[in-house]
Amino acid sequence: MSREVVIRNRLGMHARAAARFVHTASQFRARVTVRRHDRVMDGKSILGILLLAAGQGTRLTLGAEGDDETAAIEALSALVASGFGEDT
Amino acid sequence: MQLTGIGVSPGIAVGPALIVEREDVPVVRLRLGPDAVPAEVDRFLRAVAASREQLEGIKERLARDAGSPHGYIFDAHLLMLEDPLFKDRALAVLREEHVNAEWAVRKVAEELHDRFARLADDYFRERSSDLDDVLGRVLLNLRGAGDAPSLRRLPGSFVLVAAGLAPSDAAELDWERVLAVATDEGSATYHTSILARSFGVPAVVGLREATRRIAPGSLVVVDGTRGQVVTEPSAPMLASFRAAQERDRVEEERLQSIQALASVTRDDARVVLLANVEFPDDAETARLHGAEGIGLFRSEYLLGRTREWPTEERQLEVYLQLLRDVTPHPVTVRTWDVGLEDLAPGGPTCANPALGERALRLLPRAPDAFRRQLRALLRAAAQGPLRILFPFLTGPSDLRAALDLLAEARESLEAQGLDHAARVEVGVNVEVPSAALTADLLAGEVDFFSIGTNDLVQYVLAADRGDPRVSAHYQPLHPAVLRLLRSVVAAGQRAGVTVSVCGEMAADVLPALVLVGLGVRELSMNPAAIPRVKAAVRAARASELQELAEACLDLPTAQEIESMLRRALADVLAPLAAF
Repeated sequence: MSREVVIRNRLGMHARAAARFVHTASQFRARVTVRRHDRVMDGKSILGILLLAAGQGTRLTLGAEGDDETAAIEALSALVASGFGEDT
Repeated sequence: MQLTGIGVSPGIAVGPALIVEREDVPVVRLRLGPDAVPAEVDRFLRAVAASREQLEGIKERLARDAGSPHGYIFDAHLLMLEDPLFKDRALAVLREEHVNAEWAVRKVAEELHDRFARLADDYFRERSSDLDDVLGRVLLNLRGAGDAPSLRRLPGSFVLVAAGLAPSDAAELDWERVLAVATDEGSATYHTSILARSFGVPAVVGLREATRRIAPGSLVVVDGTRGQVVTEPSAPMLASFRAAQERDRVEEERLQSIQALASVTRDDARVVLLANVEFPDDAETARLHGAEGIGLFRSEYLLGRTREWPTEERQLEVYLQLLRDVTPHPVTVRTWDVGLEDLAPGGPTCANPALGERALRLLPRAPDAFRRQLRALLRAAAQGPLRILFPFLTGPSDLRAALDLLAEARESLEAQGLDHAARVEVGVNVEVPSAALTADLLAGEVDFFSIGTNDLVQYVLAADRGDPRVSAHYQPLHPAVLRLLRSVVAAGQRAGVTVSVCGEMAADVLPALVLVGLGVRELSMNPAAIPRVKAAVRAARASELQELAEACLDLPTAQEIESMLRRALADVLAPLAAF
């Protein structure tokens, strides 16, 4: 399954936000992907996420495949929607 | 020779230069026989494991020493170390190409660098320096060099000159022996700068060519206050630096010497100076700086790193300790001022924490946490002058809810027959404009106001002081702020309620004097600021400050107010100019 999200926080998916994203993604067994346009990265790879250079306002597609994919998508999109608990 | 950079940590230091070269580990490239590959894979994994252990150690040390929120950098570094794009890829190169581990790491590093270098965004492109830091460590560990021992155990006291200090290097530094820091790269928000400030070590960054132009062992002067670095200073130059250093020291001593003196203006107005305290250990520092009590204890410390609500007994222990440490002075404890995200790590968050579910707004979600705290506070108050401060209240209805909760806590203690204070001073943290505007309605219900100017100014002017793009709009001397403060003070005075200010405004001499002029007689600040504010109070006249404050209220802009104050208070400020 997949879901579109928009990066809301001012600093974008910077190091701290990317670390939180990877920590969250890693709690699930599902394979997690993050797509920006035609680039797809492993959602459990901080380097991959940083390489997406997702600043504020970037539209990303989160994907998850595996038995806990629904929970993974819910948790990750909530994290992104919350702006990683940072200023938006 | 003189170099100019950005002074990021004040003070002057003189000493011999130690040049830090983050040594580029020579990489030997070897082709391995297929049977040697498993041992090489093993060697690589051991180096990764050793790196992980070191990074975890650094992260812990950093959290302990600097109490800093910068540990996340190492979370990111730890994730990079285990990242499939690095680790799995390096293993694949090892196995498929039969090369030695150093070569594999270097090859993957180059691939990743290429990808980062193509990014248009500066911030993301520069993350390759974090990657360098992590992979450099793996290479060092492969070589069996372990942690860079020279930085952890310096062979003497030095002025550290470096191209740049990676966050992990800076965190590991033997700071006791670092006289000053000078770096080619960097900015004020550079991690090394933040650490230097927290260790009180003078630092100048952004010098561009310090490592190239300063010879190892040469005598270097670093003036972190003015952003200057001078090598092999001439005798007169050195003398002038020594004189400046001496002036700073004398000033510091003078400030220390007034610790025991009363905080009164020249015309005998008493201004009580209290300390804002984050950790219980700060209470001792507060006393040493002459604080007459704790004006703000941010109790969130008790949540610890695990962010768990502490038990009632654990809280009681800490509150009693604070009372003992500052006896006979009062201790003001602010009740939980946490956000939604603090309730359950990884749980829900607020889009805008400053306007969201915070402090007592969380009561429905965590009623026991608030009840336990109020019970612990009431029990501690039986043993000494403890004051309870409710943060983030927006007006009378919030206050009623807080007071009801307090009454409920008292009843539950009575029912259990536990010793507690029959009467305790209760205050409102006036930080939301609505609370300030209803101060007259609140005054009858409480014993004191503590105006939290950091938040109040931010809410009144709609400017986030943490955001460098709008921080110029954050103006404590804005007429709107001063007018609002005046009305809160007047409401407090009419009801006979003590009005205290806790916030940066109280710690800065100029605004602090304006507050005294507006009628505030209690200022709470970080302990280090107390001697200086006291010196200013002792040099000023309350009657004059009152006139000045009134004159400020008629001026249209913060700039005009500030320049008028600087002119009028030149005599008071001049002796403090060294700071």
